[in-house]
Amino acid sequence: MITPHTLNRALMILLMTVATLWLVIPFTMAILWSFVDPAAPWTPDHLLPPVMSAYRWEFMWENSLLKPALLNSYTLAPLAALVTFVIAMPTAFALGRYEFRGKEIAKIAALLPLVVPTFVTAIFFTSILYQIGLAQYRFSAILFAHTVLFLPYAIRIMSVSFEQVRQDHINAARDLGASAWAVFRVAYWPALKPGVLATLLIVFIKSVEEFAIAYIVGQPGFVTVPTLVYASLGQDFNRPNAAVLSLILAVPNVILMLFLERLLKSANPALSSGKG
Amino acid sequence: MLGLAAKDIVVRFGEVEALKSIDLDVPTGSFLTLLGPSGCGKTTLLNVISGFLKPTEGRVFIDAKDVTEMPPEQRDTALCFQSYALFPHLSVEENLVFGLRQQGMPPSERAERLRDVVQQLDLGAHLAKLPNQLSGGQQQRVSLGRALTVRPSVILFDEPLSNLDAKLRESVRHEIRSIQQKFGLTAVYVTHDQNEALAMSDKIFVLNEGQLEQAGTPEDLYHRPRTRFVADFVGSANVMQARVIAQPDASMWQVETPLGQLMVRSDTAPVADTVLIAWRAEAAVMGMGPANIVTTQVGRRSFEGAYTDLFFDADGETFRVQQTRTTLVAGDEMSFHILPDNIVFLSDTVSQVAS
Repeated sequence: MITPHTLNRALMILLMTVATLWLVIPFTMAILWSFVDPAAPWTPDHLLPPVMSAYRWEFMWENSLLKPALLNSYTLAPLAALVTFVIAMPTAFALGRYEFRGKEIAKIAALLPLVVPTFVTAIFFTSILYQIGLAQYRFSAILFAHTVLFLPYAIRIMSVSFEQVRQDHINAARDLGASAWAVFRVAYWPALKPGVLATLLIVFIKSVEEFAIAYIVGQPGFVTVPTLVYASLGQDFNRPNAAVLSLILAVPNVILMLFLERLLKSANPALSSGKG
Repeated sequence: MLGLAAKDIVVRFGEVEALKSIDLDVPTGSFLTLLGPSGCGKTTLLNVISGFLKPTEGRVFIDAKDVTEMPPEQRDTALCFQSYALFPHLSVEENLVFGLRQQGMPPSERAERLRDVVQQLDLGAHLAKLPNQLSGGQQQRVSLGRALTVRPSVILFDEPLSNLDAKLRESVRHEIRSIQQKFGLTAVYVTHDQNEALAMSDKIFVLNEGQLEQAGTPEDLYHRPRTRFVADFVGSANVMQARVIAQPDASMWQVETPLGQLMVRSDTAPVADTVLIAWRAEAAVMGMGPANIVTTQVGRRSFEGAYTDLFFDADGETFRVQQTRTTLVAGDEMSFHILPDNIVFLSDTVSQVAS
């Protein structure tokens, strides 16, 4: 007997299984490959690598551009997150709190950059960078580019957050004599908090794993983790080395994503009180 | 003394005139209700009083002080919201003392105020809870408590009971009224519910399309409505057209109506030869009487519990009479009379009504 409930359950389990495999298989493969010892190659007749060692990890750490790449990526990403967030705020505030003519069009226009493939943006963006003379400052050029590129995410998330702020909470606080700061703390911040964290995390993750701009603008001297990964996939393809790099790229992101998921979940119920 | 006064308030939103020159006087310690259908401007007027909306023209006075230019933060008013607007992440206690904290009141005094309000509203068991752990009625009390702790000069209510179920609504209604009387609060209460308005108010302002239709005590409004709108909106009276045919004495008029010739006793003269008159459904007394006897056939019967509505048609219009207990059913013949005192002249001119 198939009831909607059992069907629901079955589909849920299926989804969970697919999603788990989606994550587990590539990660397991990457982990296994990163531990393959160069003395004994992992051939198809072996289910597991015949000899496992941390050699690749040590090798990549000592003999590649991993250290500067990590430094670049992990200073770029938080800065990009902060700058994007700050620049997105006024637009998001206007889209979330005010009614004006053409608002829906403005909303779509703010999202448009997402439609264009990053590589296309990257190529034209580089030419703009050259024209305004920013190209030689590679770090700031990439920071600038990332900010522009990820602005739509920040605007979108923050404008939804601003919509969540309830006017009656603002009015209640003001009516009881609250200062501007107190109004922000009691009426705005609880509704904005998840959005603020989500914006910062998403831009951070996007920036850490962004390749096209970092590659085109940064070539040849400036490396980030993704450009390093792609490089080792391209020129001298070495699966174990690429596995090490991709794990270094992916693991912090997955952890951040899980963290984000928890944040968004925990934030919602507190917003609902009363009706209307 | 006037706790609250508004003079010549006009509010325009672009082309739309939301309030058309409203005057309002609320004596200190009295309970005024703004009654009207949605879109009549009652909430706009409340926003003008609380300071969230600056009137296009006119002045607002609280305790004889002109507060027109004052933002809501500085006005000595406290508003109870329809949605309660409790801060969801603050405990009940923190919600209650929020206004006092903003004033920078010392903790000892704050605790005292809190204790008073908690005792008055019986919220002691809920202080540590978050608002969403409370029922609608409890949230409503916290909202009231939050407004009471600051002891405002004027307390404002924006349809505070519309989210409660019918039974609770009635008990909270009495509670609000008794607290208002106990503390001697000057209150302005906005509602579209005529029962609420009649039961709670010292004085009712009926608003329609941004204009004052009539102001008066609940009894006044109910028994002596001045316009068709008031007669209909407050307790749906029977309204019909009448032509004055004679005036037997100074306060008595004889009129021709769809129900035949009726006698009307009124201290004010009708505004024209052809006017509207109104009478309450429960003013019909079954059986013979000294005057105004109507004999007709029951068209439809609707049992409402405490009373029964009997509808009948005359001259193409439907009228309603109300009886507490009746055995009459559809098709029966009935005779009733209406005392001349219970019929009132309305001030709308008939041409206005026709348009």
